Amino acid sequence: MNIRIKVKSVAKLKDFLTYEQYVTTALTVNELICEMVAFNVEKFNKGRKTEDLFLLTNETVENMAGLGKVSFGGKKDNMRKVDVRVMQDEAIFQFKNSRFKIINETKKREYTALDESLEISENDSLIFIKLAMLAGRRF
Amino acid sequence: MGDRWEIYTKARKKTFKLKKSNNVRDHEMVLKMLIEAGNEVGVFDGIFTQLNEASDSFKKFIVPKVIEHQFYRYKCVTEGIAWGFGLDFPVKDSKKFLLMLQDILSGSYKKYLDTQDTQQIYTLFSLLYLVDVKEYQKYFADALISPHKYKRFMAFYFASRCRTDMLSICNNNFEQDDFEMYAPLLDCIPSYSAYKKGHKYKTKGSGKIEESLFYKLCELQERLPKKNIVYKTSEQIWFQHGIQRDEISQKVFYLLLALKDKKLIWFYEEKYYAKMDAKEKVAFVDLFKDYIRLDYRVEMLNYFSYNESYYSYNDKNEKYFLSKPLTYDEAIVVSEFLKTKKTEVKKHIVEHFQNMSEKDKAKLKEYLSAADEDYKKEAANDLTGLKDQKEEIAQAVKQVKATLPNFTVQNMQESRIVECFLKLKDFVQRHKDYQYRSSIGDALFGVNYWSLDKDGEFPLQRESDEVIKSFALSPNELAYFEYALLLMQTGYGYRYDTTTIGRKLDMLATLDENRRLALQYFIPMLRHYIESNNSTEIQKAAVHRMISVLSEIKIPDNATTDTIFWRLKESEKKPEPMWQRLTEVASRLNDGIKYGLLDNETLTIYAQTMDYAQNNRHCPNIFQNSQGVFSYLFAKGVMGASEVFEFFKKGKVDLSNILSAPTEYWQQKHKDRYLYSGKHSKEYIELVERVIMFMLDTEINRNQAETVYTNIIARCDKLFGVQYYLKALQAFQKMTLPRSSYGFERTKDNVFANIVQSVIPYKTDSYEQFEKLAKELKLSEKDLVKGALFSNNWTVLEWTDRFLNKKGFISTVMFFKAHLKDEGVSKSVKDKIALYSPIDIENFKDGAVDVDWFWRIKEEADEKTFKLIYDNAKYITVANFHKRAQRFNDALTGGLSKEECLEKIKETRNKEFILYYSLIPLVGDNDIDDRYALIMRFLQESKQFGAQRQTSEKKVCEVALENLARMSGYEDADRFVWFMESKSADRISPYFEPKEIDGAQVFLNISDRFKVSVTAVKNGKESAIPSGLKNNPYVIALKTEVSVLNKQSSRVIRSLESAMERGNKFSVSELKTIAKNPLIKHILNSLFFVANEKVFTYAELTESGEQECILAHPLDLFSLKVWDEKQKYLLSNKIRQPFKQAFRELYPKTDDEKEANETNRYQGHQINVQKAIAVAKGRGWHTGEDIGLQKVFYKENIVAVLFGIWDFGYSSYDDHTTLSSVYFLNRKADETGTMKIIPLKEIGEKMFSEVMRDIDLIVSTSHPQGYDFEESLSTVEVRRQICRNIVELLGLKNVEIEGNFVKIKGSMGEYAVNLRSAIASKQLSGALNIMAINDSTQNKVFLNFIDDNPLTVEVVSKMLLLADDTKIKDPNIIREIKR
Repeated sequence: MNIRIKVKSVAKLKDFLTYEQYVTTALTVNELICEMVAFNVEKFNKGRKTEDLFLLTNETVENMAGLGKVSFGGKKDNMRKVDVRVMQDEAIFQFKNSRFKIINETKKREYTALDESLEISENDSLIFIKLAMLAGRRF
Repeated sequence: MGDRWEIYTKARKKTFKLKKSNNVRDHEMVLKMLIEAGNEVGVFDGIFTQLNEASDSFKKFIVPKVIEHQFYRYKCVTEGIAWGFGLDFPVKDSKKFLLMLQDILSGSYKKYLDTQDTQQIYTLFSLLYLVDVKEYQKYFADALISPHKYKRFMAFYFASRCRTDMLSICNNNFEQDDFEMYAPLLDCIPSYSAYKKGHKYKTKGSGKIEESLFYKLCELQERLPKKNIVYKTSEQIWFQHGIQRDEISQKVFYLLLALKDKKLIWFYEEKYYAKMDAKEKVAFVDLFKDYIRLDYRVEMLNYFSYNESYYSYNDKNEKYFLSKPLTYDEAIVVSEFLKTKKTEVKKHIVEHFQNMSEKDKAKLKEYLSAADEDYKKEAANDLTGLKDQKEEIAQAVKQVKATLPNFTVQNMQESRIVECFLKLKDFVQRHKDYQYRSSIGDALFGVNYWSLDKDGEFPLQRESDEVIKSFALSPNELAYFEYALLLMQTGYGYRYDTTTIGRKLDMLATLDENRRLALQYFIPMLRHYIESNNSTEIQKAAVHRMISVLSEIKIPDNATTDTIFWRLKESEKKPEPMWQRLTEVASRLNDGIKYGLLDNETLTIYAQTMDYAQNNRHCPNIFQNSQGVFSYLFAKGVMGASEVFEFFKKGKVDLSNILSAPTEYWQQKHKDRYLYSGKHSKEYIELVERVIMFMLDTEINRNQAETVYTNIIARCDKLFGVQYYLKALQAFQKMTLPRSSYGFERTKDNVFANIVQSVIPYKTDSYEQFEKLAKELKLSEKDLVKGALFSNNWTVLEWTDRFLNKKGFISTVMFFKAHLKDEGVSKSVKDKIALYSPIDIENFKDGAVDVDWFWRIKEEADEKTFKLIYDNAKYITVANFHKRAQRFNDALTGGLSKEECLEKIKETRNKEFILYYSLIPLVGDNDIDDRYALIMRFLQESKQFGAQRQTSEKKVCEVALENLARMSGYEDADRFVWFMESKSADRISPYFEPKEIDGAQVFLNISDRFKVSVTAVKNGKESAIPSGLKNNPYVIALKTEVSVLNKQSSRVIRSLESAMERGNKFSVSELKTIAKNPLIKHILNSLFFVANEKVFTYAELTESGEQECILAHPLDLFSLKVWDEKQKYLLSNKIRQPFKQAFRELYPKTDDEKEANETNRYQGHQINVQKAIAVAKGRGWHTGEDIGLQKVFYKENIVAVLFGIWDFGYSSYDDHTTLSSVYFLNRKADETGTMKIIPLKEIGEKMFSEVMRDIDLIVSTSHPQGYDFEESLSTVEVRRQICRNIVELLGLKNVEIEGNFVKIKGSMGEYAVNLRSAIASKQLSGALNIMAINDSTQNKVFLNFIDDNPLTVEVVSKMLLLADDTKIKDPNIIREIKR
């Protein structure tokens, strides 16, 4: 099923929030998390290769300058590959410990349990909100 | 709902109970709390940090649960558990550790019994006891005699910490072959300080064990090596340990105290006293003074001067090694010790004499006066002098009438106070949502009352003035209202005002909010109003108010000492002692004087009040700093010269500040308290000068005992009268001049040193008087030189010069004063230095030498004069800072040889010698090359050391190059370096041309990575050097050049990159010269230059006719709109650049940053500190002692600082540092020693970009979970949109986004979260201490989050937490909210 995920896009000048298309077969929250982690990990493990330098036009430079950094790609692959299972467990652990929220924007519904049924329809939009751990003192 | 604070306090107490309980159901409840904690990790901290108080059954219960739920991921959990079981080692692997605990606690410990792991052994000692006592006893007993060294070590260590029979364990196992074993064994014996605190350890056998140990320790002392032994942290032992010699004596003293056996004490005294060091002697004599010989006890006085580490300063005065009071016979013995040169000892002896009984004292005085020795006669004078002087002062005090004017001051009506208070409260409420830019950033009026800028302007002042005006308060009421607010915020109004008003104030104060309002808002508002509406009437009311407060602590004439003390003690018990109130009101009065608002009547009353305060010794001396007031009273004619003089003569007013010219900063800061500093009338200044000279008259004739003026004279840094300077110098013929004149002790030498240093000739003083007196006092040449070097005064130096009549004297003195290793000279001297040398004083401090100046003085001054100054140079400064100036001279004149320098550099890597080495006269053509090469090598070798050392060595090398450049006649080091790098061009350029040898073309080839190699071309093909040619002399010659050239290549590339970053200018002709070297030419060919706002390649530049250029920075390419063009040029011509120039990342300031003081780009990201430092080091950063990672730009005097939260401190949650903001500071600290923040708009674009580039690199390589600037970037606007979206989605009706704040109406108050900084605050309470904890043990979560930026995450988390504040579980957060 095609759904949309809401993300920020700093490249835009005014409306910073945009949607990414995402295809899912997940039926429960647990499945959705595992599926998305697997998808992203695969992309991460594949995609961390040295890219070629690219040329910048003066307009792109202007745009990037407004954000505080003008760079040319050419990232070095200095991160190790990661294991899908470990990352899935991590995401599940973090969901259980309230480190992020998943909200169905279209249906205005927050998913709170792992085994909860997603009940999503075509083109529904989801938001993943990351949360920090908070404490009243540090030591 | 009820009071949540109450509920949680109870819950917290309940958690204690639950933990202490042995009931499983209670334990399950604690577990439930932990599982439900969610992202409030503070709950874990709360429960686990006090685990040592929990019941054993709870501890056993919780360990498997922690494993099951992975709670061990929080550092505080594992540490809490370890601590709970008494294990204080750093756990290496949390999970493994907990599994072991689980095994032991469940009885499956057998598999660990043979372990050799010391942490496991220690764990077994601690835990076995809980599961199997017999097994524990056997295991421990076996361990004590185990053949395994570290198992034994652990057993002793455990005994020293946990066993009550540690003394006998120590005694029974004292025979050890390895000294390391004595570290834990000695810990089994307490030190004497434990005994003094009342810890006495009982042993069986009535002291036999102690006695046996005493002899064993004595024997061990003989056996031990002379130096302390230190064993560093190792795999086996996780802490540094060792044996310190003084530790043994501390143990011996314990045993002696426990045994109380005179014979043993005498035995020890006899055998070991002579061998003890000073500290041990002091302790020994102190502990056993009743048994120790008198001469040993007197000797102790010697150690007063330097045993600071042993006794605190106050403590010292209470230590009497001599019996008190001394008997006559003892005093005779003691008087022999007056011979000492140590003035402190003399002073203490005299004090002992003064405390003797009158009869003995009289006898002693007779003895001392009749003695032949001068030092005894001097002491006899001391016995008379002080007493007489004290009496004289007491008489003077009696003559002054000390009565307090009587007043009744009308208070403000109770109902009026409440009415005004509520109106002001309403005002704050109405404007609570007012947003403004304060001195500390975005601010909300309702949260805190920050000033608008550093001048102290407050927001909404016009409006608040209007409100106060509308109250139509009379001056009396205004004065009282201010006083009432001051009282109210203490919450103890009734104690000060016993009328119904006091009660009313206390009632208002029961609401915390009201107290905060009074303190933070109303008092500043009212003060502003009063300041802008000041009048004689208001001031008069303030004076009356002050006097009425003063009368509350008025001490009745017939009071006994007891009643006086009782009253004062009562006053001090109150939350704020009465005198603080008084000072508050007194400051209002200073305002009155400042604006000239007090009428003569009020002034007279004021003067009377001061007199009262001055003469009543129990009244707090609130006028101590009121010289300004006297000045005013004097100017107004309220007090005559003689009255002021009498006042000052009492020695109660601190005059040290009045005449030392305060700096502008200082005047600004203390403008209220010291309002007249620097602008007193001429007559008044004259008066004070006369007072000071009056005091000096007494002080200069003192002996060891202090006079009433000692304190003032010791503190003054401006004294008058050249006669005192000369007399003090004469006194130093018999004393040693202490170079650090600011000792705590007001001894004669310390105070006289201050006189020599601070005296300014009085206006009537003349050179003729100086000359006459110097001759009369028979001051030698050396005395006068010493004084001139030590003095801070220019006239003194000039008169000394005239008197000695030595050519070049002043210039030589100034040369030595300039070339010190610290800044130990006054500002006026620094200004004078500028007259002699163009080199900046900061550079002198770094080690720069003005060679021209040196040769000028060598020409001018004769050898004898020079030597006189050289030999006495130590008097310019403290410690060994003068040595540098002396060594510079040695180096320049050949007194220090090149060989000696080289040896020091090689052996000790002493960087001072790099400086000296650069100054030794050059001999021969190659000498300069050798020097240059050595400095470069030193710099290269520096890489092996830590960041801090690298930075300091680099700095010294830079200065040494500058010195060398000056020695060789270059204007700056850069030019010199380029010259040196191009020097070999003529010799090596032929090597780059092919030369035919045996049918092959051999030459030096430059690769596209700018490295040189020997290449051969045979038959049109490039090949390695044919084996037949390898021994050819020409090929060998080429090879020897390769490594030199490759090093040169890296060096040149590095300095060109740095020149680009800093925008250093080159002349084109200079570039041409250095390009004679083919390698450098090759490097230059691949770079772009900017001249006259045009971009050139090197070839184009040389043809262009331009004279000057800089290396193009991407910022130049960007602003000249040629960046894309130049990138294309490089790609199409396949040119590789030696460092990133056209493809260099650029970091411009964003719009937000242009207006800010700091950048928050990297805030909230975590870094691995070790990795970050390693990366940063390579880019010239280092870590500071007090501030974070920093990079110093010496020439620009700017320090870029990357702050981290709790930089290298402790956190309960993880081991990584969370980054905070980046600031740029002024390297030159201001008057207060702080480096001021430079707003980002004042920082050059290039510097900003390069600093950000470094940090981006540091963060991306040391981020534990991977970091990408673009992905993590977020702005305030992004956050605003995200928060709005979430609020809408979750239907949070109590949250609004307004401006730069998320505003939340919670159940426990109204909150705001700043979108820029993520700081949460509560209305009227200011910032809430709620931390976002970044747990680096977590892995990255691979989900498509709406925003990953740490600040966005923090803002959203805090917003959601506070929006539902009834569900907060972390007691610390609740305390924050309820505070």
